[in-house]
Amino acid sequence: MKRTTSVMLGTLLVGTALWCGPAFAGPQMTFGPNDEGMLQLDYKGQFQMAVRDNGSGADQNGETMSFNFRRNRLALMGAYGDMFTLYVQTEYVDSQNLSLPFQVSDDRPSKDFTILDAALRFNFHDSFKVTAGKFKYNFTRENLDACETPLTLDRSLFIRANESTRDNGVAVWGNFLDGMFQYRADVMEGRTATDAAAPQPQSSYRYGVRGHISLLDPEKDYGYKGTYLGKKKVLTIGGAYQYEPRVAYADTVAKTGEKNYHGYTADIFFEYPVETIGTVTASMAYEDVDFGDAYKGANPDPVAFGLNGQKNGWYAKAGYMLPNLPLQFFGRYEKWSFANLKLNSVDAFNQKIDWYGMGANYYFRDQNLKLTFEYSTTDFAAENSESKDFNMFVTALQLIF
Amino acid sequence: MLERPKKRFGAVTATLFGMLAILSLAMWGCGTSGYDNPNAGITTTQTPTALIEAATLKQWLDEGKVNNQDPATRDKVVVLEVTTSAAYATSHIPGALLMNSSGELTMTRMEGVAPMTTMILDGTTMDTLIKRSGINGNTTVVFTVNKGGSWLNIARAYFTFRYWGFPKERLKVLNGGDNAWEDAGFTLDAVTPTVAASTYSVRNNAAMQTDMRYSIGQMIKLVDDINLGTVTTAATGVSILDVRGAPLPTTYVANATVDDFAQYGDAVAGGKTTRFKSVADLTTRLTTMGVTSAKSRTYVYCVSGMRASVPFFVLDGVMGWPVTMYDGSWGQWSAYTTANAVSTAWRIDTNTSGTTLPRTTGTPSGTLTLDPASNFMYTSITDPRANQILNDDVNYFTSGTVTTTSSGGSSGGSSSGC
Repeated sequence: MKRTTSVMLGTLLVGTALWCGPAFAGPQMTFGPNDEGMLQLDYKGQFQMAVRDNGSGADQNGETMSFNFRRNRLALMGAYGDMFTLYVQTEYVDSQNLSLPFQVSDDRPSKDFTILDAALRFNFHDSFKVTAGKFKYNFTRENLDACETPLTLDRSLFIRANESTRDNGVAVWGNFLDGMFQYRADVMEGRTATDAAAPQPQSSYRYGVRGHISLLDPEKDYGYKGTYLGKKKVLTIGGAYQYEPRVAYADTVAKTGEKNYHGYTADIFFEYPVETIGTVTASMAYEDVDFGDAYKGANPDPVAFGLNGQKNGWYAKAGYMLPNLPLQFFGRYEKWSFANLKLNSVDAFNQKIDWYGMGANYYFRDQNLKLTFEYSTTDFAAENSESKDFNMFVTALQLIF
Repeated sequence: MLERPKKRFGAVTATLFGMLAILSLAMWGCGTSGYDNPNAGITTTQTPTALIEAATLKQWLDEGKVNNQDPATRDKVVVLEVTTSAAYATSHIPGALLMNSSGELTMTRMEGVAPMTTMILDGTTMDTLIKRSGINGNTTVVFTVNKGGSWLNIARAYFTFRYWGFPKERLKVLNGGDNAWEDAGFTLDAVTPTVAASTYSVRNNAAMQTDMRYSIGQMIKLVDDINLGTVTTAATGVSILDVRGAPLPTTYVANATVDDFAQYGDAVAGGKTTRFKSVADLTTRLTTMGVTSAKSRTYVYCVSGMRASVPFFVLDGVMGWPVTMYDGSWGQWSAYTTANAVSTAWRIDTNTSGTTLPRTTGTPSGTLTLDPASNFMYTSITDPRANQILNDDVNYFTSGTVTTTSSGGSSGGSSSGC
């Protein structure tokens, strides 16, 4: 009985550890005198066929086609006792001839495995949990969405804040009132130490806070989902703020114009299943990323502009899943303003993007085996040699094993 | 988990419509906050071509843009007088700074199997010039030359800055140099302005324009490719222009069209600096030489890269067509011969391998000082190690260091060069 309880507890903890998908499919092992320890290994792959109507050939106006792995990961999840869980995930970054949101490349950016996540998590109480290591920082709901459970083909293309999706640091978080309220606070690495090409005033930590209120079923985990496939009724409203002092110079050559980073976001998510009618999902979020107008400087730090620099915008998504067939239709719209969307060498001040997408998911085995189609249009307000409007069609097969 | 439809359908529908209403309002009513364009007030980058007249520069001078010391300005102008220090000291456009034609136009550098005295400036020399002149990423550089000075100087300076990554809209050539300034009724002076040095480096530019300069190995390969039929000189293919000028040569790089650099300018009476022709006349001249906007690229050379700077500037700065300078030019090409014991692969007095087509039309007879180690080591024209200047410059651009294969010191590019 004791052993059974330990195994059940371990399984539960490992399940809680799965920020990125259900993934109970992988092999498990238990260890320890009373089987307090548990390890599970999962594979997570998203293989894509992408076709875009420009991006290659003379003047980059030729059609571009690519097969690639959007994600290609091995995840190791562990638990010991009733307080500690471990989540380690590696990723093989594939050669993506076409990568989101609009990059086209014929090189092979990385052929190495990287450690994507390495999180040590301590569950002292439902209202007080601590995570340390490399993990998703607490800012946008979209970034915290599990990578394998987006409503649309992928998460929002432009809402990513300045750092990558993960960062090193420590987070404290928890739930109150049976999960109706959730709080999060983290201290993360932020920008790393200075480099010769773009010196920065100093290397500081990045501080973030986030909270949400769930008015129907609670969302108590660290990770969110883009759809619960009609298994929950959710109405959650959230918001977050990030700050990092002295993060960039407006003039990196003269080393003047020190700027701080601020970012805030607000989001709402709704999903409601109705028997015989189906499941409706809708969400939207707004984000503002600010580097104190560093982009106006004489030689601004590249971190302060571009795709993940100073910008603001929002997305809205909606989905509908049939009641008796695992088929889900979705649509997405995004609207963003960038201080300077300089992708390579061409300045594009006050560039605006309208992005439209629609498609469908077919769930053979829930998220463990899923086929997705999405057609999208990217519309730049001011086209230039580096930013040209395009249409894209992607077919993606997801397997979690 | 699924709800009974009759029981909850009304509430769900109301919530859904509420969400849709919010989304619709957001989509149609709410946009995003825009941003200022800090470049909106810049005028010096807005000239139709890189060729400007004296009145334009005078306007910029009157607007306080020349040597503007405000660190926040994005529309600074630096005037570089490309001449000798003696000529500069005599008179120059007010505010102009010296770009010394003896040492800051060409220098001796190793390339292929021998050093050459007339090659592009290295990164260290460029940075010294840039910093001393207060040039930064928001500076528009105007090249001029002393009264009676050579228009080749300003064209060569333009090519040098373009190669090192300065954007075209930030580089201008004053048509007619100081003579044109004076003829427009403006005065020259002999005051050497004091300007604050900048910390800018060519490394701060977005990218080098490495495709604007060819080495000896690249040029031989181009000729081989044309001879082999893998590159065409048809209407949409490439052109090679030999612009050494009168008397027109009968020995030249195979597949080249013999042109005359002087045809791109109008001589001015009284020994004044030559002026570039009008766009219409330049178009006519180029068309006569078989060069049109349809060409994928035009390769230009002369004797030392000075005269070829004229059509380089015309094609890049005025016409906006793709152009590459073969920097070693005839001085380098004509010396890669059997008589000079250049290793077999590099010889230009032979046929392209596998063809009966020569690499050179006529019999070349140049001279060089072989680098024995390079001549022994580099047995292929495509050996990347033999592209020493490109390697050194890219290395400097990316890392700030020089592994150097440069040879010797500076060699003055004379104003009557080529």
